[in-house]
Amino acid sequence: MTMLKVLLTSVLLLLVLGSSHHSFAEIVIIVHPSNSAAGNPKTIKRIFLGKVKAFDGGDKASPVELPEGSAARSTFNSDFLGKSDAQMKSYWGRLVFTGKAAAPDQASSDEDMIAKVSANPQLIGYVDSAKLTDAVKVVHRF
Amino acid sequence: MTTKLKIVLLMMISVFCMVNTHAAEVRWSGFGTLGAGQTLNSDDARYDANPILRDGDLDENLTFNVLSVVGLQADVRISDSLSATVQFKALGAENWDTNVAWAYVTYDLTANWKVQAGRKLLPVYSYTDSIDVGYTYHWIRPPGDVYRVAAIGYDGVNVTYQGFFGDWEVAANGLFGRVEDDEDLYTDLSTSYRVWGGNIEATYDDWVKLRVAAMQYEEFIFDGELGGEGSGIRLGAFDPIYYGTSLSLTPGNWLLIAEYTWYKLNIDNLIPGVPGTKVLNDLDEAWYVSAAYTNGKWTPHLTYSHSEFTDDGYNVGFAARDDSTIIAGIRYDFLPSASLKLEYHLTDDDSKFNGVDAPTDGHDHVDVIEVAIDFIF
Repeated sequence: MTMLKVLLTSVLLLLVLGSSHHSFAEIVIIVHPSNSAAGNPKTIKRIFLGKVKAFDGGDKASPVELPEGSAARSTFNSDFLGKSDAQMKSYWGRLVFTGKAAAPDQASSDEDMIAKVSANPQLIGYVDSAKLTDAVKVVHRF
Repeated sequence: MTTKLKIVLLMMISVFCMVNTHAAEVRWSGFGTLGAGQTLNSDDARYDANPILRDGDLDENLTFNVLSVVGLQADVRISDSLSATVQFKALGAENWDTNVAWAYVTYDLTANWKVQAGRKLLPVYSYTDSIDVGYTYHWIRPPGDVYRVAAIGYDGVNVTYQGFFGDWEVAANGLFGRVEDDEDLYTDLSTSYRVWGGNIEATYDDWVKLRVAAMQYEEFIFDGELGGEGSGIRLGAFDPIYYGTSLSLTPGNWLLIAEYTWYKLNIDNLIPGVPGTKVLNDLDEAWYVSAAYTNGKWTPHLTYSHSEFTDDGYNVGFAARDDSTIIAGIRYDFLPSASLKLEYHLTDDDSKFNGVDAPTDGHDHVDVIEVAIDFIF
């Protein structure tokens, strides 16, 4: 009986840990350390959807995406922007092929994202929190 | 190719070369649709699957050309606020002849205002801007009963505004330019006309979108004689006007959209010097309602569309058009950048000639099946 309890507890613990590990794959939205304007999730969302081209303080803002197929990109799209990868593709297609907006720049990896964002105060990007360094400033996490 | 277009192209190419030597960024993107369809009834039933094209009809043979298109776009960022775009497009219905669909420069005046100059498509309907990019909507083509006014390229200037007022996003576009068409869809004559107008889109909280559009076409003049030289029939200048509005709602996984359009030809005398000659079916009203539900990779959808010409009593030899179509279809996103679509169309033709049934192709009902693959990159 004790063995069974231990076993059940372990299984439950594993399940909890496993699921929490999954849902807690945290994404951090990052900007240049000198950027003090970017904190409002609503504005950040609008920047990533190409609807707004400036931070709340009025400085020019350009979003950077992770490459297609990256897990952090899918999580960012679904959990922060509320769109599936296919819906995002379609959304940008409608803007790019009609001259309404240019597609966001792409970083080739999390490391490249941090390198780009830490070098340019105009940029705003995101990485898996596990890849975060102190070269950039976190403005939102989820 | 017109001289004007050649000049535009040369300018664009020189911009590209100039920019390339400065190692500026050129971004390529593209899209395509490979579609096929056929009617399922009697031998000679036809279905206008792509009315804005000259040869947009499907018949009883499986046809690929009518629904297929590929496009390639280059975007060059010249400076922080200046960019140039060229889009090449080849339509199956035009024997895959490649043409320059878009060629324009964009200058950001402020974060909200920008000005564009060059060749763009007339943004007539809610979906005409991206009408060739099937991947961006749920149908294979938007409903043909409604999408009939030629959404062709114009050479001109447009100014756009995009900004927020609380939770309302407002996007406005005003344009002025000239359309030159070597072969008009209805008369085969070459035409040239001025156009001005625009559209405003108001979006609330990312899920309610209202759009209104208006276009005034001026001095819509046909060159040459109707039915070939020697017929002696020259047409007078039209001044057509167009209004359209649409409302779309996207609660959760649903897309609900309704669009209504109104197009009046406005001509006093069809044949100058012959008083009382009037164009047939002067006023065209059309609308559709459509619902789509996305569940993961699958999007089933249902649409009803209707198009009706006003019977103005001048219908000599022609019927007043009256078409209704049900489209039932499904979209399957088998890759993040490609989708497979299958549609069944049931269309009823209640066109009347002086009150008597006179369907356009002699068939009052046609069933159609269409299938397509869309991709984007």
